[in-house]
Amino acid sequence: MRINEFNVGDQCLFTKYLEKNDYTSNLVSLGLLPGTKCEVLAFSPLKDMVHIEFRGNSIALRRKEAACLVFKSLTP
Amino acid sequence: MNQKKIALIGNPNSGKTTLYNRLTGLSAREGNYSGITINTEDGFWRSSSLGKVQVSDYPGTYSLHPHQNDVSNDDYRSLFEKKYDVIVNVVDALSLERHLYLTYQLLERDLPIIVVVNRMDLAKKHGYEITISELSNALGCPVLGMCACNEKDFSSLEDQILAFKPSTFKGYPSSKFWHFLKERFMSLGLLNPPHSYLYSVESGQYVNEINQGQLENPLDIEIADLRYQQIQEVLSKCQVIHETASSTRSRAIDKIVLHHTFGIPIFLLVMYGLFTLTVKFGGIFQVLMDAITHALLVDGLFLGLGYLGMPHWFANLVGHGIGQGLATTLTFTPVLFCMFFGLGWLEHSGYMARAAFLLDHLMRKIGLPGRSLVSFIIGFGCNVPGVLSTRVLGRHEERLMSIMMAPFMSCGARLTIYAVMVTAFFPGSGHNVIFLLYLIGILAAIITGLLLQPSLDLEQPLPLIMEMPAYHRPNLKILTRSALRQVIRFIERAALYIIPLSAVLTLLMHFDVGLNFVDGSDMEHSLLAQIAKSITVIFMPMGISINNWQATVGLIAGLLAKEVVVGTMNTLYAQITTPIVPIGQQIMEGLRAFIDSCTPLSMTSNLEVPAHHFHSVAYHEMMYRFGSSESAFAFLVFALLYFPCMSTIAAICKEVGPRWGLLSLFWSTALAYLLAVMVYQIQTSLHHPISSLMWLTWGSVTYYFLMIGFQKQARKIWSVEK
Repeated sequence: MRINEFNVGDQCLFTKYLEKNDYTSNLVSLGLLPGTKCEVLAFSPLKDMVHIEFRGNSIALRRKEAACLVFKSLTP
Repeated sequence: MNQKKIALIGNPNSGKTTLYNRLTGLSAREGNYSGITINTEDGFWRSSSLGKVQVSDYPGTYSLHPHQNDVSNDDYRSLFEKKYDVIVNVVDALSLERHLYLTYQLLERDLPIIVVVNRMDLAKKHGYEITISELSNALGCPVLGMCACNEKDFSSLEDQILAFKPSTFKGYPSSKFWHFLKERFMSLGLLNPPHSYLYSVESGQYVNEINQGQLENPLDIEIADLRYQQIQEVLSKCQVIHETASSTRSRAIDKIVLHHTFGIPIFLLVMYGLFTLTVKFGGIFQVLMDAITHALLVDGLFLGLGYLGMPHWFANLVGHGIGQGLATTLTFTPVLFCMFFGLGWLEHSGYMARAAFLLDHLMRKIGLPGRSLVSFIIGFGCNVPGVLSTRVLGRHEERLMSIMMAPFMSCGARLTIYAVMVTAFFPGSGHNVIFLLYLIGILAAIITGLLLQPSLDLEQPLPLIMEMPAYHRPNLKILTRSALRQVIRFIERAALYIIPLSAVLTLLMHFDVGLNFVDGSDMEHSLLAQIAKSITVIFMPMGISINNWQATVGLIAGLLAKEVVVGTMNTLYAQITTPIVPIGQQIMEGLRAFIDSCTPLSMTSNLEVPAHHFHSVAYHEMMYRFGSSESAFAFLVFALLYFPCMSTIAAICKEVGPRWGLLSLFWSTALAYLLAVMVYQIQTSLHHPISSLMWLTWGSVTYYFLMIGFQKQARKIWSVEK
């Protein structure tokens, strides 16, 4: 699943990166690794930005750019 | 003893610059969002026990291996070469896990580090219990808990640096990790030279050549995972997290301010609130300042010099010329203080990142990332730091566009012009008029952006990872200090120009073409009046009559700095000699008016007070000369948009080259003129419909050609530069 398919308040697990570039390696430094638990905190008005939290980081990403991140749902 | 050198390094927004400022007594920009420090800065810390210490403040980074197109790349290489005595690694107690990642990278390279855990006070409030001694044991290096705002903590930093010996640096427990990695990768046959491998692996150079078949994940992720495992092990020993009221507060606030429907209205409300408070609250003190400065600097100087036996013309020059100019400028310090304080509050509280989050989509419509919004909001204080702050933007095209747009953000100095004019012409609705002016400025910026967009071919923005910092309650002492510093800078700048300027203007006013001394109503024939009147012809279509040549002089003075427009105009308007009220009485009246305006009932009208109480001559003169609120409004529109001041132009030239500086200058002035004329003609179209219609037609046609010309010119410069 991609991050924009979740709802505010959902918990999910990060599973893998589909690309490798400067953007993803920054996320690696921040600790977004396979198996990291994330929570979706908010979406911007047109849902094109997402505010997520993992490992105590509170980070905003763009939906389009985050399309290379794959997540797994934790909330049934 | 050799001079010690220390470096400050850490993640973005960990508080390095706050620590740097406290240590060196300097005033580099700080705030609660990422990426404020752009270049490495050096300063000196005069420590009581260490002597003079050189401190280098590094821009924030998440990792020691930034990427090819990262500006800070070179800076970090110097970290390994410069051989600092101590590297102070600042980490945030609120998100220790991620901050320790960088710490681990530093440890793996055997750099001499002291870890400073910043924001200990906040962490406690948020329910984080951190045992510093345990952390120090686990990491194998000195660790210090502190709060960078608190100067008492510095002596322990001094002690640590003093006790620090490079020889204590071998054999970190973390080098176990190093060996572990080496063995693991050696055994997999992945490694060549033992000391460069981490760097090469993480910069991505060898990753493709390495046989990754035996690893579950790509190599960089494996390494990062190992580091995080270690960090978690360390944290399990030294950190306990309790749920507290303030830890959930940030989330609760975000639920409201980032709400998908109410988020943007709340943003607008916050901005509106900021300006209303600035104008209203600052206005109360303005009355008092006005009384005091006028009594002391104008009448006081004039009478005092006369008493000392100075000739009348000299007393007049100093009192009514320089004194009046200075007094008017000083009057605005309360309003400006409120403005800088309010902007500082927004920057330090963490709301800026939220605003960028909400408006990213909107900003990208013009082709800019949401982060450039921060530059624009800073521009409301002063355009110069607004222009400079665009350096955080990744791409040159994005920077260019933001820089061309930034001067349209109505700065604090321009606020002084509005404050005086709305007092006289828009009693009661002053703050609404001011808000409208800010909106016009933003609109002009958006038009500029839309026109530039096709020329600069901005397609995809750089990928964005934006930290959303936890909300802090800003430290009032720091806010006050930085607001005061900005007000003082304002006064210094204004004084620099206004003293010589008002001296020259006053002299020019008192001599006519035949170099005879003129005074009183004869001043209409003075040299200055003659010159200014001939220029004023240009401004007639926007409602400034020949009679109001003082306004023209004010606008010309504004080319130097917008700070001096009002001072200049007031000096000129107030030249007609007036009976002098005893100084003591003036101040008493000021106090009375101040107390009056403090009562909640009159909160709505306190800006009008000066119009009735103080240098009413200048105010009445101004009202008489402008004649109508329509021409006053057109004047304000012009003052808002025309010629960004000298310093802003200089900053633009320095950042992106003189061609863009010139283009910005011509574009803004032409746009200002057309808009002001059109605004005036629309407002007064009922009185003279035919001439208004002609002016409007002319305006629209010229506007059309102006836009095309601007776009063409921008494309030309861009293609030349490319």
